[in-house]
Amino acid sequence: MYKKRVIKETIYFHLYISPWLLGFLIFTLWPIIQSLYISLTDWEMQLNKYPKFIGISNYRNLLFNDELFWISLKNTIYYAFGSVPLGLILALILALLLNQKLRGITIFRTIFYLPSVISGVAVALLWVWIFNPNFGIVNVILAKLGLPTPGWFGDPEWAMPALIIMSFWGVGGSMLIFLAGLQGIPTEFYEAAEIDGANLWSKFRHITLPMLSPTILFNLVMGIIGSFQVFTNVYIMTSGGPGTATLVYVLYLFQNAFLYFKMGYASAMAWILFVIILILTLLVIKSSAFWVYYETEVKK
Amino acid sequence: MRKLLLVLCLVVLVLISSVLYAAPVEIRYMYWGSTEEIQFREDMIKIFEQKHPDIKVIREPYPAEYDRKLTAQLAAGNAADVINMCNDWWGQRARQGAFEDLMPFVKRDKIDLAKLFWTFPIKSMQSPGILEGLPYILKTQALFYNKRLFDEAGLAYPKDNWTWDDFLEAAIKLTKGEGPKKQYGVVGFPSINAAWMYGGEVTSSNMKIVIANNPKTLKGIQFLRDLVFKYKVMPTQAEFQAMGTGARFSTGMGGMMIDYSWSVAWLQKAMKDPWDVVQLPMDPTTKKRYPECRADGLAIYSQSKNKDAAWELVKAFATDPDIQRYVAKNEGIPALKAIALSPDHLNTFREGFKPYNKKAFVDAVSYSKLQPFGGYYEELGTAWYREMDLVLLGKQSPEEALKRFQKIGNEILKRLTR
Repeated sequence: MYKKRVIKETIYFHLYISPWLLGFLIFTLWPIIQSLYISLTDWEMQLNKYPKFIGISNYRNLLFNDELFWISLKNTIYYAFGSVPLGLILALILALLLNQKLRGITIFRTIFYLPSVISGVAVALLWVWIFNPNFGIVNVILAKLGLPTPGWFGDPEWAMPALIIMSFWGVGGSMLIFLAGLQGIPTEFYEAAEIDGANLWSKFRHITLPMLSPTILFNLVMGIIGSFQVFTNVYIMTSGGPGTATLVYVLYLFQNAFLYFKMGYASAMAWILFVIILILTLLVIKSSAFWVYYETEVKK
Repeated sequence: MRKLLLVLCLVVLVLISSVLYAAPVEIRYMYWGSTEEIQFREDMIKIFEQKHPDIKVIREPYPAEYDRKLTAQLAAGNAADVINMCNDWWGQRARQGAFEDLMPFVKRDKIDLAKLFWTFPIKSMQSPGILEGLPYILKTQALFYNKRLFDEAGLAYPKDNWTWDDFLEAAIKLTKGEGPKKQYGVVGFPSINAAWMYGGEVTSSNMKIVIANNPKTLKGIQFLRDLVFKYKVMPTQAEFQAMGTGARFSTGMGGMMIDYSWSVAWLQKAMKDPWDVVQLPMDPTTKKRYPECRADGLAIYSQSKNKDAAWELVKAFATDPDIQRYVAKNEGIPALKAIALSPDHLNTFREGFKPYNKKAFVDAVSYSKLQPFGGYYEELGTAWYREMDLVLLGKQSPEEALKRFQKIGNEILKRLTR
């Protein structure tokens, strides 16, 4: 009797999980394996031409012969270093502000989270107007304040800062996670600190930050991964220009794959990106031993 | 017995009717285009279907990403029977074996190519030694100018005998004001025209090597750069970012622009100031001019199972007078020479259009050139525009740009044409 139920449950389990499992196997795992093989071939998706095995040539060309590869990597690192730390700080500040006991606070929370729900092409086009050198609201305000008005997406020096500023549009996502983290901090800690005479800053420095550090770690890792994969905004707004000022890694990968049809080359790029992100993530997680505090953890 | 006879009669009737109403042959036709262009093609297909009830055309319009779609279909071995193509593909698709040679069909149906068409569009579709497509519409360039701004500056309108010196002189006089509302003499000058203007070239005529780094091309690019930085009669790249060529010209903020015949339709709707076109200015020493001409054509997929039916569509688009007259009336320069040059085409305009010098576009066909950045050669184009961007931003000298482009471009061509 008991055994029959177990068998039945096992069958149901596999039945229910199969849509996801099949999807993963067919549309994720298999292409990943394929792309590893394709990265070792020369394949331009031409009529009656199949991938030709060329060993590690693609990787060698990328690393030693392709100027644009290095430019795109440099641009991506610039973007990541700009958007991730500033984005985290901004998200944290917003989360702290929205963690107050105020009437109608939920409305504010919704308002600040809303932009991350609306994203993609439409928003990118909106930002093109916001940063329009002559008629955009940013430059109109700067001019009113008597400040210099950069050419933003038309200027190689300012195009990347503009993209970084634009990335804060989606800060609501990490803000929400911070907010959840903040609400998980027991109020007793603050009460105890207050009795001991702690001021606002010491409470933040010695209670909020340590208690929030696992959340910061999570947001940092997700932020790094996301920033190395930045694509849509750049594709819509600058296509990598002016010159090569905003040619980011995934855009160059996309161009190789779907404009020039160098599928092998593009696959190799994807795997190099994977290794880069893997190393960075491992570094961050390794470093977390020094700055992330887990309540249940016993430090040796 | 009677019943049997009746049944027999019925069977015979069904058989006869099924032969008479044989299902029409279905052919797939893939094409690109804006909403308006897609509507034009639709109308052209309808004219064709009326005359060929035995052929049914399955429409496959792609408003964007056409080349990628085609590549994917070719790789999968199931491309459409009839493929919209452009002569600026330089025969590369045909070289890949994607297109059927149309010459045997042309000979079979005794089509006199030399008599019916201009040499340029046909020749430009013959590069790989086969006829890869038949052109049905041509698109060329001319110099657009704003009559009001010329009047205000007290200048005579541009003429067909203008040289680049006259062009520059007018551009200087048309420029006035400062800041975001500055009125510029020139608001559109494709870099490819700068490369060609003094007889320069970007690639060899067989697309095997890049030869952009030569004195004539350099002179042209230098001229373009000077328009922006020396004479300040054309917006910088950053200013173009704020407001593009079309927006500047159509709102009366620019005196002249070099543009394509396809811009006529929207200018007719969008522009308040009176405007017109003339042929591109000439090289002052050689008296030659170098506009670009693109010819859209139809090709037959080499693996198609209905090549004969496909050929009927290809032939009708290029040579059926009704379809060609429709092209003339609505979309642009028809490929059939007789119809393009007919007074009916030159002097009548689409409903709601103001008359303009249509002849400037038609005249350009016979001495035009082919841009080396189309379709399959997009990568070369990306590299070219990247270098030109830097020139027009003042971040790189024309010499450096052409030197770098020649090096990068040759690597790209080596791979693409191997």
